[in-house]
Amino acid sequence: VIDFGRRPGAPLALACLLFCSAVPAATPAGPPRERVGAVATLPASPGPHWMWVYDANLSSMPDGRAILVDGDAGNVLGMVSTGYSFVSFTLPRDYRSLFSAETYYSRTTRGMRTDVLSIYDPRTLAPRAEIVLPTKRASTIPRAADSAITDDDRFLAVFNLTPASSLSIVDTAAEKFVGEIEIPGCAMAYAAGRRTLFSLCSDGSVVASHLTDDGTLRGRDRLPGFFTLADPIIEAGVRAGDTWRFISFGGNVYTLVANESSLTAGERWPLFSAAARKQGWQSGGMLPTALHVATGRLHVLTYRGATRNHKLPGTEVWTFDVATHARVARIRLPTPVRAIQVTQDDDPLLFALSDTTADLYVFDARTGVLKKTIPQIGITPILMQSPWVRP
Amino acid sequence: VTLRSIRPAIAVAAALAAGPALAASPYVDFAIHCMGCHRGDGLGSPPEVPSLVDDLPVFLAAPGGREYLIRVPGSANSPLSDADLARVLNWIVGRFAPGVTARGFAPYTADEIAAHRHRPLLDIQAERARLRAESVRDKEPS
Repeated sequence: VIDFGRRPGAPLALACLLFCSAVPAATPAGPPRERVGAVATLPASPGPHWMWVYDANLSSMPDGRAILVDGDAGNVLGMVSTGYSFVSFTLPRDYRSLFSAETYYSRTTRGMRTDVLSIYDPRTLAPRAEIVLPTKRASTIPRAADSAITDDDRFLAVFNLTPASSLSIVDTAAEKFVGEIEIPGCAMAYAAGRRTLFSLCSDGSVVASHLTDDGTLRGRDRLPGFFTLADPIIEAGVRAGDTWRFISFGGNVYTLVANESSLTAGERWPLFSAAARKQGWQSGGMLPTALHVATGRLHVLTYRGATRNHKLPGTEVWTFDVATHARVARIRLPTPVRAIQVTQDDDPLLFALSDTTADLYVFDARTGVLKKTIPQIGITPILMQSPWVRP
Repeated sequence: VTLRSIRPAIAVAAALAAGPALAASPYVDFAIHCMGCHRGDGLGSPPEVPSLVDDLPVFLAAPGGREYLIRVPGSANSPLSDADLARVLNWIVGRFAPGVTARGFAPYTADEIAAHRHRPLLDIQAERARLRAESVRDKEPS
């Protein structure tokens, strides 16, 4: 569908078109000529091979952006300007809105601070509404769990750090801020059911916050000793139903079963054999794990080096079967990579963000064959998220 | 600018946190584990970060106030040992609430820390409000 004429989304979409035209076309004749002022509208449902790439733009933090990529075509479908200290969108399952916790200053780099939850239309990428939040949202290196939405898409939580830690709760149906929930000594939010979010705590425990149907705190559960400081877990969790998996500095997979009634520590298993460990293999990167839920394939960014450098980029992707714990594949990466993500369809694509060039690589997740390279997708892109969910 | 440019700062912070020689004094423990939020002068950033100067005398004059200072996440979840946590809390009370010390404050011990440290506080604002309400600090002659 192509629309013409002025509309609220035009500046954003136009920026997209300019950006799109910078991507080299496949034909030697060059890109097709585009009509100035042509504004495209995206389909209402996301494609299975789409990927949102979130760029905090750390070299100019007031200017974060989210970039939507089509992994099949290897091009950019659109781009959204998302303000200061951007982390990521929070995507509801119905994909009727794109939620984005954002910070703005009245003079861009100084002045009155305003935090908002912006709501974008996924078809036009234009802002549709905003909900003012307390000026408390954590401004950190982007982490996917800085916000979360309950499994029925109703309540959205934004992690605050003042440094007292809490969650701002937004009712997405009423489009209003409900209130704050304290999570002392804990951080971030992970969805675990219709009215439950859990947070990871600095004493190694997990605390679940259960909400009422009004979005206020109904009660809490606490699981002590999920991990210890001797082997800290990395906050980038992957989810399959009730089961969350986290990897640790020491290369172990920690399993948490979380739902509205309980928090339970599940199995714990090592990713690396003694031989691999001896060679210095370990996980690395800002977003080091990606799970293809239907097949239980866990992709992990890995590299060889000294221990306790878990944020260093990965040089390979190792793929594990979460049922057997066996390593089933190994992909060598063209350049060191800081983040990986996988689509959830039956022909999954594995996306990998270069740490050195910001190029975005698109692999066939099953064969490891490199299918596309999109050059310099952003400035400092860190997180990725696939909008398509299995019906 | 890439992520690489911020890594040296993280590495330095990690080295400071890990250096055993530097952990020799309670002041260094305070600087590493407390001062980032409570600030060097102890004034904090109320209301999110209470002022040690204003609030310690109030909290320590309320039932449960001693335990609160152990159980608050910045204390309880710090990587300090029970003995080191006792030492830095005693240093903090002496430095920022000298009036409390003058009235005969009994120093924290490692055993007292161990007894309360693993009882998490999940509703901090309510506990703080209770401490303020039940404190006898304002009723004492100064």
